[in-house]
Amino acid sequence: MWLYLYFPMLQLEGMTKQTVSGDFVTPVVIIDGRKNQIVQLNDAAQQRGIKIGMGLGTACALCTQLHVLPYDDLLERQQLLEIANTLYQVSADIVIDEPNGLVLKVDSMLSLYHDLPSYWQVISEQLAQLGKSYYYGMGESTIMAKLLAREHCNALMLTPCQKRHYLGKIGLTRTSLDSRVIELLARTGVKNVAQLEQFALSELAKRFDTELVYYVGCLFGKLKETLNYYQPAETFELTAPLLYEVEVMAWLEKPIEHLLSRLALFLQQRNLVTRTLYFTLALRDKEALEITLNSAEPEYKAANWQRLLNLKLESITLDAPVQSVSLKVDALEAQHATIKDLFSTQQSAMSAQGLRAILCAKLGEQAVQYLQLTGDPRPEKASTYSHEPHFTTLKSKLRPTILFPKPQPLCERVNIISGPERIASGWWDGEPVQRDYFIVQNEQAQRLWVFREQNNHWYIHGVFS
Amino acid sequence: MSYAELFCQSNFSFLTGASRPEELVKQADFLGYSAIAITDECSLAGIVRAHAYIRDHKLKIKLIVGSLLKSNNIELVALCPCQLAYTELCRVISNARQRTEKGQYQLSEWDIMSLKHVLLLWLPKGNSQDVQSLQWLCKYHQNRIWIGYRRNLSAKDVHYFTHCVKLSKAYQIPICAVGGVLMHCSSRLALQHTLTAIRQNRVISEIPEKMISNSESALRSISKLNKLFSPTFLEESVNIAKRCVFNLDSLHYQYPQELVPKGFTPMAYLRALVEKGKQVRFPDGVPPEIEAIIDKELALIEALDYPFFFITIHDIVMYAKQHQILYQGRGSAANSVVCYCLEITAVDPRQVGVLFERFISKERNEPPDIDVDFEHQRREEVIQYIYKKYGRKRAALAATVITYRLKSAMRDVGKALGIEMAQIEYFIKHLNRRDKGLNWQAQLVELGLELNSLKGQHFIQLVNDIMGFPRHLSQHVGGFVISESPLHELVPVENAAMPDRTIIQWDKDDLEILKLLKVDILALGMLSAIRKCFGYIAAHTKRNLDLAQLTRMQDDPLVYKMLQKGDSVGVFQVESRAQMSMLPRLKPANYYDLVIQIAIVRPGPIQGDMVHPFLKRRDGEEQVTYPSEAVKSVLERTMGVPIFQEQVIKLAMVAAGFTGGEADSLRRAMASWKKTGELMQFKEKLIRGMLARGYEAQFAERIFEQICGFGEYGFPESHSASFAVLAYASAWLKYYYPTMFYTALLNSLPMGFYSASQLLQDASRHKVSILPICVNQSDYEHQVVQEPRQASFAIRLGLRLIKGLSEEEALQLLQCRPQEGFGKIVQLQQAGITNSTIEKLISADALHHFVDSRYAARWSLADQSKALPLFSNIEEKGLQYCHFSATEFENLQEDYNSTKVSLRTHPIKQLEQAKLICRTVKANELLYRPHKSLVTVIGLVTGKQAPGTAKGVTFFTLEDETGNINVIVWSGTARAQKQAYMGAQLLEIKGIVEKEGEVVHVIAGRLIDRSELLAAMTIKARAFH
Repeated sequence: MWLYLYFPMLQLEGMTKQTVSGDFVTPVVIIDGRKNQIVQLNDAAQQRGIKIGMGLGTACALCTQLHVLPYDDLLERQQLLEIANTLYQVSADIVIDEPNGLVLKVDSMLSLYHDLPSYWQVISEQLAQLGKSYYYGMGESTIMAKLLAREHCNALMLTPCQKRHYLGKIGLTRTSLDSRVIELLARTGVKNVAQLEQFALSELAKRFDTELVYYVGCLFGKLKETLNYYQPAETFELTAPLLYEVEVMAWLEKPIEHLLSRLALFLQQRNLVTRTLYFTLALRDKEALEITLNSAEPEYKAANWQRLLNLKLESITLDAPVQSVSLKVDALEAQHATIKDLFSTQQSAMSAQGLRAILCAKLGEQAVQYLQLTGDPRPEKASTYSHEPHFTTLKSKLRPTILFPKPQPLCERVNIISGPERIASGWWDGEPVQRDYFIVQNEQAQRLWVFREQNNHWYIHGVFS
Repeated sequence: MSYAELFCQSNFSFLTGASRPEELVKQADFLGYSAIAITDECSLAGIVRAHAYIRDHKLKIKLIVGSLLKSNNIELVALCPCQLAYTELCRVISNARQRTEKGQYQLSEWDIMSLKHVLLLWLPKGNSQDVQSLQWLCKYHQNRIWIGYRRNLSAKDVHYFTHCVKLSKAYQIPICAVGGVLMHCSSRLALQHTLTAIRQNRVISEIPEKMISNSESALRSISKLNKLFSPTFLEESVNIAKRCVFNLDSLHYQYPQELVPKGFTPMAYLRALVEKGKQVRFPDGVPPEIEAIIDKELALIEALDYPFFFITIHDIVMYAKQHQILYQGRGSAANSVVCYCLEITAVDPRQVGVLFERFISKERNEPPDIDVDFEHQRREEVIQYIYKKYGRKRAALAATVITYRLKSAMRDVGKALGIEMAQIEYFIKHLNRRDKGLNWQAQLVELGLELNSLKGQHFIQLVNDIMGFPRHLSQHVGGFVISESPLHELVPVENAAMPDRTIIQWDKDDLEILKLLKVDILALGMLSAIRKCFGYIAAHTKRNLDLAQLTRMQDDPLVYKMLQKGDSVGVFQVESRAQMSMLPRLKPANYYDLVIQIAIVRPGPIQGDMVHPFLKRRDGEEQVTYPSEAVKSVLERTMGVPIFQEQVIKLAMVAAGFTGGEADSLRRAMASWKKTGELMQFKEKLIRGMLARGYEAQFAERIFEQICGFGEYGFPESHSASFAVLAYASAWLKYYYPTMFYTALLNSLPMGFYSASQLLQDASRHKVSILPICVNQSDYEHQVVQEPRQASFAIRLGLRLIKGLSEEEALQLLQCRPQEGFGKIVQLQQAGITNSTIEKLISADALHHFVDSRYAARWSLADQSKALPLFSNIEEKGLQYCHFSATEFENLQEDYNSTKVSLRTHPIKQLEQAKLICRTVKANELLYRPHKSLVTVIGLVTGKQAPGTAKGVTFFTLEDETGNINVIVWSGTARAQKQAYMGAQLLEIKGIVEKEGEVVHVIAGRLIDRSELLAAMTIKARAFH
């Protein structure tokens, strides 16, 4: 027997818990942008007549103060995994049915919990703690349980008659069958799940493809389903308790070395690498100190991590003694061999990325940026910084080597060499300029880049080398 | 120092030029330029507008026709000094355009080499390849080539200048100054940037490098140009302009000569044709007063030199006549006795009292306009005839300029500014364009556009600027230009989106401005229906009818009596709901009443508030008065209320003193009012003119309001007169031969206002019997059949109703149908009919003769083992093995799904029988309910219409088994009950009966959505917005 738990409002509940406390009076809907359909909504929205499956336009017309959020399947999956993780403590075989359902295998657990009611009590207690709304259903197959749960059946054991009643209410469109098959069935008068039970599989096989036969077989427990059971994610987490409290950073080297080598072993055994390490230093009478270590390239070697860590630690001072150090790694990647060109002549000791990683470790992520051309005609905006490398092929213009951050008034006699170049642009971001640029030469034979504004004021903006 | 701008792109260089041609010539004239060349990229599409502007406003500036031509490494501006050069340029543009798909062009080396007369301004790229290009150009164009030197104050000006001078010296090629103009003034820079971003499909701030960096591509003052260019360069541009003497007015185009037999002049031939036609049309001799009109008309045609036009159309309609394609001419010249004699129209002049001068006149100075409607299913034959007769070189369709409207402007500008698409769509969806009180800008602010933000301001400004800008050329619905010599010598011809269709680069206004005639070959569904109906009548009653005969029989009071009751489903032009409710009020009793009826129930007269005065005056409740005799002469036939477009134009002439030419511009402005807002410029002149002639200001204001109302929807009397013939003919057929009439309508769908289901409901209300689709009885088309053992006729529904069944499948089925019909499914299979075809027949219940139910039939058909030859003779066991039987409701639903019609019990009746709803007042009972009484009605929502003419009102049409119920929902009611108002398919309404004569409405008080009762029903409301 299988128990199916259906969570209809995972995202909405997840988000409202995070953002708003207390009762929620503004109507909120979650919309699936691809289908332009409302998939979740709160009570307030429901009261305004909004229904699941409505388009955004209709919904907006019904309620002007509608708060609209985009559907986020990642978030849903996270929430679901969290629930699975909790239930895994009390029930062994769990199948994840993304994005919003869990199936629990009941039979194997009954020997542990004696009978169904006591099993259900444990499960429902866990669910109550999580505070998610859910519906449940039980059946001889995962599919049956799912259909019943989604029908909001909320019953554990059903008599055959009750079951038929529920299944009779479930239209075939609610099953996972292909719409083509559903259509074919409907055309012979089969419109709900209960009707399917009356067929011999052989009669179906003569008329329909194997998908339906397999589905019907599984549904009524005549065929075995193939299932993937939930496995808790593997993450590395290790704490190195210290024998005595440490007050000097340098003394932490040894325990950290130990952690890193254990990590290296862990990663090596699984042929994995990672980019991020999280250290937590538990301090006496203080909040724990979190240190995050990033590497530009995925890494597993202890020595390399050690080097980055040392740089990081230089800038950290302890204001309380450390009681323990723990290391946590959760984002793991498979290791790929990095290909090095045999013939590349310049064998720099450090790749650009490596250099960047070191600079980032030393100065912080925000401090390291790439320079990038924008093509904007306004000299101030012709280049910009970005965190991502970006290569453009823009045509070069005649521009001075040194551009002053701020134009300076022109106060000397100059001769015009060439010009004007008129730049009148930038209306779109509220910083328009209109200037005539000239290349001029001053009495020291310096070539300057000067401009005249509309009000006839002159400024120096740069110097040519 | 004077200047001539020789390189200037208008917004007909799509998404590049940021000013209209009119703006460019106006500004250039203002700046004192001696000439301006409009040189759009490989296009002459904008040139006529510039020409018309100069002509209409009597500007001094000279217009030069030219075009920017770009090939891989050469950019040239080609200018036309003379007509020969113009012809040459048209040819090259046509060739380059026709090499590629719509909207693109590809210039070949040969194209450039073959230019012998145009003047070429070469635009150096400023790189090393220029030398090679120039050498090549010099080989072919010595003495006709200049270096076009642009100075737009970029960083490279100095380098470019020395480069040009060097080339000029080396090859002895003179330099002239050009602007490379993209906008008429520098304030259009933002718009130009926006257009560029739209072209690149990017956000403006992301691609500053693709934008022009300053606004020097505007028309600049001569004093500024003097500072920028050397005098010799400027002088050279003026010299070039002086060489260009070609004027678009000199274009003439010759109608095909082959239509006129040897030994005839065109006019003599036309007279001969009319003479011959007289004998057909007036077999008993032409009455003398008609004879006099014919002579007058012919004299006018001769004076205006239009005989070819009439001969050409005569030739086309004769082709249609020979091939039994029904047609009907309409338009300003169509309703003349000459056209009646030439068999272009079937309007009997004796019945109408035509005054040809009313439609065509010397002083109004407009070309004759004849549109010919053909059967919609056979128009293509006529088009192919024209192509075959004149060849693709001599016949092409006129263009339609697709311009930015509010929605497209908001989408494109929004994208260019980087506004979220979802937000733009939200704005678009919620804008109420009918809201006269709140313009779209204010509505956007209401919808949450930040007016204080820079982006919000830019958005509104740019959307406003870009509206009306051309986006691309498309094909006109049917306006043909046919000429004696190849068309590409007259105007560039390019490919349309449809394969094998070519369009010229000018639209109908351009053609009109240059006085070039076009022939409109249009499609009309009603003509198909009428022709079919004539056919059925001939087949079943041996009575041969045609349009001319029907009009000759004079007005039939019984037919008008039917119309007066509002019984007009299927009747041409008067079948819409608005028309239907107006029929009992207007009570048309003769042909001219119908002409008025058709024209009056239109947004134009309704917005201009002309309907009620007309009704009152007609019913004698209001006195008919005229402010002057002159006005009386114009408005007398419509009781002093202007109803037709011609009357409004004429009013402007007699009451405000417009000249013929001005009236003509006014007419054009009315046609394009929505696009450009041109009408406002006439307001002052009109009102001043009327005041000066002693009319009251209030009267003048009202006339202007009426002109605005007409703007978009105005309906000319000439068209209405032709349509009224078809309206009368269809009403006559409906009255005397209903079975044939409905069959013909059904066989001509899609057309008209009503679906097959609605037509069939109406037919059965008229006691026409309808027989279901049957695999053994039905043809592909619907048929008129003699009812067994009765003298009456019935409609046998045809296989064409079946969803997804192709004509070939149906024909195959009919071919192998045995004499005695099919008796088993296996029989069909054995005859080679595929399972999918059988499946469709089952769905339509076409096998009902020998199959219990659809479910059983499908179950049997689905068994694949039977397809094996070994089992093929085994008795159909499956038929007994049927699990489920369908309810009447499910059957109805399947009927609708497969054929969109059902002859079963109406859903409302079924719901009632199933006791799901209570008995309410039926459509046919409403008439007997007292005025202002409370009623409850329930019906399927088959129509929902919120017309712009009725503020704050939505009209619902509900259908029950007895007919249609007209419901009026006020906006307040709708707002309060939004849910029911917006989504309901089955609606229960509690409201008040409102009766006015035989017009009955229910004013909704409460709307209750009962759609859940229909649950699976799939009838979609046809929403008309």
